[in-house]
Amino acid sequence: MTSRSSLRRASHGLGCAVTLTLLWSAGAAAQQRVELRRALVTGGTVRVFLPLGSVRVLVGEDTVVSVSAPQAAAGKLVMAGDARVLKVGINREPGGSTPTVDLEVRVPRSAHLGVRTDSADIDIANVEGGVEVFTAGGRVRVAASPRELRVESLDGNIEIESAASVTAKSASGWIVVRGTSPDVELSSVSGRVALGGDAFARGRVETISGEVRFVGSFATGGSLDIATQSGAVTLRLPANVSADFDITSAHGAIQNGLSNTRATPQASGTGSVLRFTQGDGGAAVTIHTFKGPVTLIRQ
Amino acid sequence: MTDHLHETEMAAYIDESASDAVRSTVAAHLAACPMCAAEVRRAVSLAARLSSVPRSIDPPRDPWPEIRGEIQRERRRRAARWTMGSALLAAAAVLLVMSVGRQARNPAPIAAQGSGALAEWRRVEPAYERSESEMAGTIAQGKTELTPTTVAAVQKSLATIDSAIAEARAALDRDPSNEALARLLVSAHERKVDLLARATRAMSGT
Repeated sequence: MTSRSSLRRASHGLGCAVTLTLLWSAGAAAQQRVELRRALVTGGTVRVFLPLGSVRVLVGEDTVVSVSAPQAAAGKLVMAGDARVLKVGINREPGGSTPTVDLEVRVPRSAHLGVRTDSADIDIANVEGGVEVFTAGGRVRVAASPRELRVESLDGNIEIESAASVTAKSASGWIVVRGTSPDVELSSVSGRVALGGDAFARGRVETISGEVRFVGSFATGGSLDIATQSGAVTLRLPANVSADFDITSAHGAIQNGLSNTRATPQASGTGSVLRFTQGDGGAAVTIHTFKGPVTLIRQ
Repeated sequence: MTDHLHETEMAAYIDESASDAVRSTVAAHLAACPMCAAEVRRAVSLAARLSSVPRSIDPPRDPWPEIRGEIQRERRRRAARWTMGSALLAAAAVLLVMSVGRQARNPAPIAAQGSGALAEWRRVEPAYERSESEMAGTIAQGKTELTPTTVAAVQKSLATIDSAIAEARAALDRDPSNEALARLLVSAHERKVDLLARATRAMSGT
């Protein structure tokens, strides 16, 4: 019978040699950490898994992946796979014995990155390969512009600052997206969603009861498409904004602080509609709500 | 046996990213350990079910007029068979969810699309309903693997979505030509399918 330890030894023995280093910082035993290192080919994939605690992913050397954890977690730290696909992290263990660990992972700038946690918080900075994050309840913070960014959570909050195309999904956690993303797709159930930016290009937001806030202006030909059942929608726009607005609400109030145009009853008999062009138009703003109020505010 | 395979080892074995040496070692363990073997079978089955859920369907043309017509016909019959009307609407919504989602990044006038959408969504309707039911069942069986906070959040979110679906459906029944209401119903269904898939994934460790 093969034991877990022998399996791990076999796995760890593959590919490049693993360097185990004890890192001391300021001589404090409490800060002693263990580090594992392995080579990764250009454009290789790094998959990080951590049930509990926190994981920080940073850019490191060009062809090396390193992961460090507190010395106490040394026996639990896993680094497996080969130079094309590396898996690093801490396994989930049965019976509530999974350790809470703060993990630091350094990856090549161009690496493809996948991060998966249960409730561990996630921080990612400066990576440029594709990034995919999945967490049940951890907080996610990304400050990077990878080729494509996808973040999914159940009840964790998501905060993104990026120039990449962004897809972010939550249920009860809030989502905040800043930066100059060319394409943003956000959805939540009850979580609040906030987005915006100068020359906003393209965005689509869907919530059930989550509030939606936009602050910024639109690129020529840009678009913002919002659908919510009962969430309040607030758009703060500059006085000189140019956009075509198409807003419908079955039962919610529509307040237009940009112009004198007022909402009128829908032809079908349910709710009201507000359609108007501000400035020269060109950007398309579409909002559909069932009973959430819509407010357009001039900045 | 008390020493079982780690989640990572199982995942590498299932997704075929394990080396030959690790693979043969894991295979030997599975041959002697019914618990791990059952866990691997469960994970493979779950992955297969998830992969069978269509991510998107390109409707060949605007499905809404036909769906609306179907709803109106159903409305006339609903005194006797309301539940069927609900199912048709839900199935329509699921298909529209996929089409609207797909159009989000590349919007095109729906009316410019081809024909046969109604037949297409009817064809896939059982698969969607089965997948939703299976995902909900899986979550119900294994929800204790998630933290109580997350389980509570998922349950609350599902209740919120179901309430929204009921609300939008009732409104659409009163005003079946209102396409904005239809879109909200579609959006609510999309959130439900999406939430179930994410909750299932959170439990499965994949």
